[in-house]
Amino acid sequence: MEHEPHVKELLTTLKRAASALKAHEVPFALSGGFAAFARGAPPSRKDVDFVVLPEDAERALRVLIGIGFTPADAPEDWLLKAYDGEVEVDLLHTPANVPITPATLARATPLEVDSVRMPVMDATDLVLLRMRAFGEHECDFSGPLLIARALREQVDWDRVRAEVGDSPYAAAFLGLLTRLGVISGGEQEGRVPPQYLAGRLQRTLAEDPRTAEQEIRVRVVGDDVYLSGQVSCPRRRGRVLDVAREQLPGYRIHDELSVVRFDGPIREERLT
Amino acid sequence: MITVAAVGDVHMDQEMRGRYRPRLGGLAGDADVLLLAGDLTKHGTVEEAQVVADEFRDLPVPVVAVLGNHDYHSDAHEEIAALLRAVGITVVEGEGTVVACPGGRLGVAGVKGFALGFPGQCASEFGEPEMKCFARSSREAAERLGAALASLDADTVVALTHYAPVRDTLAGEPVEIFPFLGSYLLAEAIDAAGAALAVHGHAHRGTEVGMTAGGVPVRNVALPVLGRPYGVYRLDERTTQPTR
Repeated sequence: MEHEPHVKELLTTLKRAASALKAHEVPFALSGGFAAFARGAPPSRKDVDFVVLPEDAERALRVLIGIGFTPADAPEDWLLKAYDGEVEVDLLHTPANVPITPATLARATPLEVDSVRMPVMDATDLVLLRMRAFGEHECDFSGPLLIARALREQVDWDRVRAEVGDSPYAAAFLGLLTRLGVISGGEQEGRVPPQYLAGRLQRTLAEDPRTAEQEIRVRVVGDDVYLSGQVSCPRRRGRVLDVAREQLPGYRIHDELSVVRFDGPIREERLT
Repeated sequence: MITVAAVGDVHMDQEMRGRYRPRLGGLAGDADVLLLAGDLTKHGTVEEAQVVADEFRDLPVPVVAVLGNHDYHSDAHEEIAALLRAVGITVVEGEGTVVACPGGRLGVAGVKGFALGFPGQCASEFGEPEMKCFARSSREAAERLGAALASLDADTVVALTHYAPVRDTLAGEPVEIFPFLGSYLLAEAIDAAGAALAVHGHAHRGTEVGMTAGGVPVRNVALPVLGRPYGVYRLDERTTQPTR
């Protein structure tokens, strides 16, 4: 495949760096735009990103210096930087405050990148890394949208939801993907309608031996679940909440329960 | 004059141990008898029944109990009944017992009862075997209650059930689940016997006060409904006259 000159230049740097890291047995995986490219997205025109373990970051940088790259000061404390001529290479070790772990690297799969085989970051991890970076000043969705479209079948969207669904930016992006139909086959569509969800939880609370509570009212509004009614003692209240959280991960469980009281005054009723 | 104390749905388990008994100190001054309207345990285990036995044993007044649906949950209802009887609690299911009170002989007949519904909104013995079995269970429970009430040789008769005989005392529960909370056949048996009072539990969100079509006072004594350790009902001379 013929690439435009700038992409060619980036790919050359990428291959040199990857080969050197492989040769020096520094565990790594290709990340960023070129990992997406390796998995089917259009080629990146920006920098070359690798992920490495935090403890290997310095060693990886020395390997790159060893093949003639120039180290550069990175003001960020979550990556190290080097230049191969004009091309920037980033070694990410703690992106968005989440350290790269051996498990992340183990999930990477060996793929051909412009005919050089190298570990390429798992598609879900790649999307997660991108989505974790979303924030007040980083919410241009056009780049991530391109990647999400290209990788959608390779991504475990349920895991994405579970890991970053709490972030309003991530939720907005997932909402966008859902509305655009990009992840229409995903969890959103298979989601149990609130009425059935409430019925299911109500039955569980009655049948689960930890609770055996038949009097709990369950109301589901969006991602909020309201539990009300009376339970027989404070510890059971805690268990009702535990069972609800267990059955409905990702929902906010609201405790509107009360504990049965029987400390009222005795009074006699005269039946005539 | 006979005074009856009653409570249901105490749902004992290990966590409730020792929490109820201190509330029973005034019982001797309040009533001639204590009726327990079922759901004495949480899951119907023998261990939970041991807590019930320890909380309600050796009280200054006789204790008469029926079991509730929770007490059947672990298929140990017979062991539970035996355990309670061993500490002096009279457990009835389709039987009656007579308690000699200063104000006369009080007859108590009890059944757990079952679901079915109320006139015009109830199940019937029609269709699938499961449906027939469901409705038949309710009919047979009411028949056992009727027979037990009729068998009593007493001055005053009280019916003790877990399921509700009327819909009055279910007010507060969702109407859609009424058929699961009681059976009007129980009320029919209660009216036929001319009982002075009917007490039941089961409907935690219901209300205390109701009445059968025949004018028998019905009290829902489920603990969450009462909000006090037990209800106390004084049966005056007029109501203690058998109406049969």
